[in-house]
Amino acid sequence: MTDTDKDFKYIFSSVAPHTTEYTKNARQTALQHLEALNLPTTKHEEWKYTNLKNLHKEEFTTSFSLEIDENTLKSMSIDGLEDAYKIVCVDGVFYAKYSNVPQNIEILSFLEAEKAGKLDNLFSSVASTENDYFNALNATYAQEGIYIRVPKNTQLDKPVVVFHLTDNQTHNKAVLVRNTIVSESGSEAKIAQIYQTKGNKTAFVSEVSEIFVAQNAFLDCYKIQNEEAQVYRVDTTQVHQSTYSRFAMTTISLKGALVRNNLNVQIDGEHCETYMNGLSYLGEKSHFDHHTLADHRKPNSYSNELYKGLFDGNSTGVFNGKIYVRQDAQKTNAYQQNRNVLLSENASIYTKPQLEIWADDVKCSHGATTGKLDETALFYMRARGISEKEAKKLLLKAFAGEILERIQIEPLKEYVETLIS
Amino acid sequence: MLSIKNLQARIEEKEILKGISLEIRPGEVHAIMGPNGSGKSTLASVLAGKDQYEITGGEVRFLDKDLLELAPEERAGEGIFLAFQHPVEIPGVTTTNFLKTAMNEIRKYRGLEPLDAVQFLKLLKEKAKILQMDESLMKRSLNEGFSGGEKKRNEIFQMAMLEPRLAVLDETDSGLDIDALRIVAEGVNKLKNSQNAFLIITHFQRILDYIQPDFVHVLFDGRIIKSGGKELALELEEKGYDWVKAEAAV
Ligand SMILES: Nc1ncnc2c1ncn2[C@@H]1O[C@H](COP(=O)(O)OP(=O)(O)O)[C@@H](O)[C@H]1O
Ligand SMILES: [Mg+2]
Repeated sequence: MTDTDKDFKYIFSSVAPHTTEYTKNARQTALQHLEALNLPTTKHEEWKYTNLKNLHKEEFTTSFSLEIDENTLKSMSIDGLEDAYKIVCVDGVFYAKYSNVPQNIEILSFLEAEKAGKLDNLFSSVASTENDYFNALNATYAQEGIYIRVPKNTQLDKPVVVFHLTDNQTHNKAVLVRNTIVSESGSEAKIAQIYQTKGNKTAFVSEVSEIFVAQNAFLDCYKIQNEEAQVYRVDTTQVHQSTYSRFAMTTISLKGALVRNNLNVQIDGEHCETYMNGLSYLGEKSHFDHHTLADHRKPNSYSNELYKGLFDGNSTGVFNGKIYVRQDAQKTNAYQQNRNVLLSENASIYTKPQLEIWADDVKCSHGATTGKLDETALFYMRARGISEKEAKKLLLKAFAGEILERIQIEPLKEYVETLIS
Repeated sequence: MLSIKNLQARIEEKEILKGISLEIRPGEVHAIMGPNGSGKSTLASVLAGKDQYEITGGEVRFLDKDLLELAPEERAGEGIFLAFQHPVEIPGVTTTNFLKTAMNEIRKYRGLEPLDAVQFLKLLKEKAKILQMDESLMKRSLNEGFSGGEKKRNEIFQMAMLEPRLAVLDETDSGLDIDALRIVAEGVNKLKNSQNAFLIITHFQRILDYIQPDFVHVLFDGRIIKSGGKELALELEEKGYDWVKAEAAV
């Protein structure tokens, strides 16, 4: 078999059965784009440091799990969040029977939503398929995932916790997941997505989320990426923000073979606030690539991005963050920081902060630092009797703390603290 | 208690300590004086176990142990404390959390049960009072944004908490105004007893008005070139170091 034969576009073939005229057209456009594209290689500027060649070595099938066992279900729980709204997805399949869906918001499986016309005018409207292989693949073939709509002026009393399980117990599989989140005007919600795996076969997941934050809406999102070392994931989160909206995404990256995160925010209204926080704490051979974009399209908005990384073992981090200020976006305030610590000789980080500014009256800053754990601080602590191991732990915790403090759901913050300690 | 014999150390091929010998017994206060760059901080760092320095000769025994064999945290466990000339800022770690960890790690080393939160806080308040430490400082990141004086006072406060057997104070007096100096000296005097000892590194005789030394040593170019009683400090204050250097050259 040649590499081309193994391209994912030939693995997926069944086209979604329940389409509306709108989604049918959108999927056809995506297919046309897909046909012109190939799996990106490191020659592609946006994939320079992230090599997908290992994907070619594996055989994947597209069949997914139909049942979850009791123990697995039990593991999908966070202390202190037992009574939060809970959504369970296995290989992208939404299990309503295991979920605890709030009355005042709408949660459907992706296919149900598509069939009911809920995705008309939304599907593939912000996650462009034109030059993006994975977006095109996903928009053409994805049939699983969830749809969440927070209705106008609804303030959710408790967070929504979505547990995404990749079940790779029996065979290698390729999974496409498609999510749509609609925060209607004046609504407020917190949504945390927890990514876990079961099994040790190889999995490839392409997940695309399109998020729409309407006027005056507040949406606070979290992703905890904690999948085992056999998972390859390409995750695109494409956000559209309207006037006076507030959107925050905090991404905690802990485990996975190779994960590419694209987080793109179209700040398409005035007086918006946008926060992008990231913490990577990687070991072994994990490779995480964060591409982010704060796309300021209108005047008077504010964006703030802080990504921090701790890299141990043979892990690799890539940070490519861009602030893009269009000509109309006067009085933009945009800040971006990337700070990294290499904990081992064999770990590496490639960081590229970018500013592209076409408006003249803006306040923007960006910066990146990479270093080792502060030796002077380590010696100081050891001279006070603290063992080297404990001293390192304290310093790591302090470094991570700046991101953890930004987690607005206390039990989730504690959950992450235990995961990293 | 501490016995240094012909200690030699270098960093990056540069010889800094060129054969230092010093005996310190329980209950004694020793002062080391000497011009900048003579190796005072190097001596302090070598005693605390900083591994950037290569020990090229000599030996150091502390109580009945070969000190140079021990890791820095083990030395602290044995009862050595260094008040740093330049205390380190550690963002994200509060003074309280830092001290509690240090205290309990040392207790663990000595085979003692950890202090619980109540016992620890009681001790913290007691020692903070002696050093007139503002308790709000302790909830802040260790030394971050502290003034020079606050940092130095924080070192002595940590010393008071950890109750070492041998405390090495590296220019703790520099950067302290007279009131702060008095408070710090009082902290030292409160801790002083017949079982512990102090090694005070200083440029100025001023601190020695408050903490009476039993011995004064002059360190120059990696060697102790003169030792004497506390009157030597006064003489150095008056006449500078040149006469000692001249005398030593003979
Ligand atoms: N990390 C280092 N690298 C190179 N030289 C050093 C280092 N630390 C100290 N030295 C040198 O060692 C000598 C003694 O320094 P130090 O012990 O700090 O003296 P003091 O405390 O008496 O002022 C100086 O000449 C200084 O430049
Ligand atoms: Mg010095």
